[in-house]
Amino acid sequence: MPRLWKIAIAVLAVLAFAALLTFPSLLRTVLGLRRADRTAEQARRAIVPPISTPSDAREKAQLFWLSPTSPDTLEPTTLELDLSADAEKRAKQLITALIEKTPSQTQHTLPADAVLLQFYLMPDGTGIADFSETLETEAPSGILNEEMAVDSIVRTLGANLSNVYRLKILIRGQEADTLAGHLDLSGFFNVTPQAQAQPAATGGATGEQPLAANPSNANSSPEQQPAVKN
Amino acid sequence: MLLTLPVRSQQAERIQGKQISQVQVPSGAQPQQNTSPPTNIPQVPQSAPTEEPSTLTVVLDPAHGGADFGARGPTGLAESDVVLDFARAARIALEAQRLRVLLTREGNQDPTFDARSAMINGLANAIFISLHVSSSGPVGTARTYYYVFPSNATPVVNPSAGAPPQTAVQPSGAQPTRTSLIRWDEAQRSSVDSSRQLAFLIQTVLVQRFKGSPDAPIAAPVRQLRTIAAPAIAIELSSIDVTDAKRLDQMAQPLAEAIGRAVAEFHPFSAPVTAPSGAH
Repeated sequence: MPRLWKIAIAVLAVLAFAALLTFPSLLRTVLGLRRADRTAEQARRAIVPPISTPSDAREKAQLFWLSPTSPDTLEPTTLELDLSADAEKRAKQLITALIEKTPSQTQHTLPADAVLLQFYLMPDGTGIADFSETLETEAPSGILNEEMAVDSIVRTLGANLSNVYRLKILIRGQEADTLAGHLDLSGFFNVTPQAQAQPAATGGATGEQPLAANPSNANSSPEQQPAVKN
Repeated sequence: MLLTLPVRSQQAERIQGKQISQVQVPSGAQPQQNTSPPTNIPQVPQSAPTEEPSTLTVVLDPAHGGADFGARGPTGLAESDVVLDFARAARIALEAQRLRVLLTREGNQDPTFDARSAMINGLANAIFISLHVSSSGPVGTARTYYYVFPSNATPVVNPSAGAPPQTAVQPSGAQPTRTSLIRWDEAQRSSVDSSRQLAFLIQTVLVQRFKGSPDAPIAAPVRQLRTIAAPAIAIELSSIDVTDAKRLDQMAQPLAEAIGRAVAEFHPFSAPVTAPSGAH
């Protein structure tokens, strides 16, 4: 074997040995960076103070997530939550629970990293939900997915609040063009409060028939508007 | 947005009795076809020179493009590539019917919403079909969407507990007047009925080809449709979440045939002329 070949093989062997030595630390660094990203998001969430008020009471609430069996429909699930008597705080508690208490990974409608920064309730019944930008960047792209995201918020508010009649979604305090590239956020979404006729605490339960998120499934008449529309 | 564009639908042309060939586009938009003069005026004044009615123009909109891949599949499959293939297949089916077909992008460009809208808003006798693939959802199904505007009514809280809110209708500057100038950012108001009609036709055909699809189209505020002053719908197939890309490839031909069949049945200006309303 020529001498040059021997040198080349020797150099390659040394490099391979060095790579083997450094690989574990490199792997640790990459994993550490990934954890750091998660920690940053958790830290930001930690900045948002826990939502609790003196009027908090343990109540049953109806929250809407994706059906585990039919991914294009929403299904109500009843949970016991500490809910405030103050409508703004109550709405914030509900939407935060919608993000954080998803029964399973496949039932998420909102990104797990999304944060509801603030919820305002105007005297005319207009609710304004201000989300972190992760709602925009981490939400699954697609008309159906974005429609489900908004519909889950709208239906959850409607099922548990009696004085929110329409919803405006902001991203970091700003009006956004779309949720994740498809759904128009320039307008308002109608909320139909069901709590007036049927208190949320007694309405629905896990195992109810899934509610469709679109008019063709939800209503007998296809001409009817979906809950997300206004 | 204050910029407006003239209504160039048959409805407006009936009112005005003349062509409108200039469209004002929002700043930043890059109209690609907005200078094309309309060639089809179904009802022109007796004194006007007569023209051969042109064929329907179908503007196919493969969504996303460029750096915007849209939804991504587990194998890296990009929605922007899939919908471009869908659009090319649909173009073949439509051109076989001697229809004029335009694509909002021919390659991996990413025109803005307004640039895509400008492409059709300068045309007469045209329809717009936006193509999408969802991130998730029942694989092998298809949904058609049409735009519905929010109501102008503002809820006014009734002080009596439990009473539903009354509504106060705010004056809106969005509705076209007889001068037929409409707001760019609400251009779809002039065509909501035709869009719904087209959506029903397409969904009726799609449900036959893609089992498990909804029977009827869905009213949803799809952003792209709002600024289009012509019949406009979006079709979304489910889903990009497949491990075998062939499953999506196999949907291209049935989708193209469904679009072709529905468009052939669609007569965009046959609906009675009605003043655009606030909500539908």
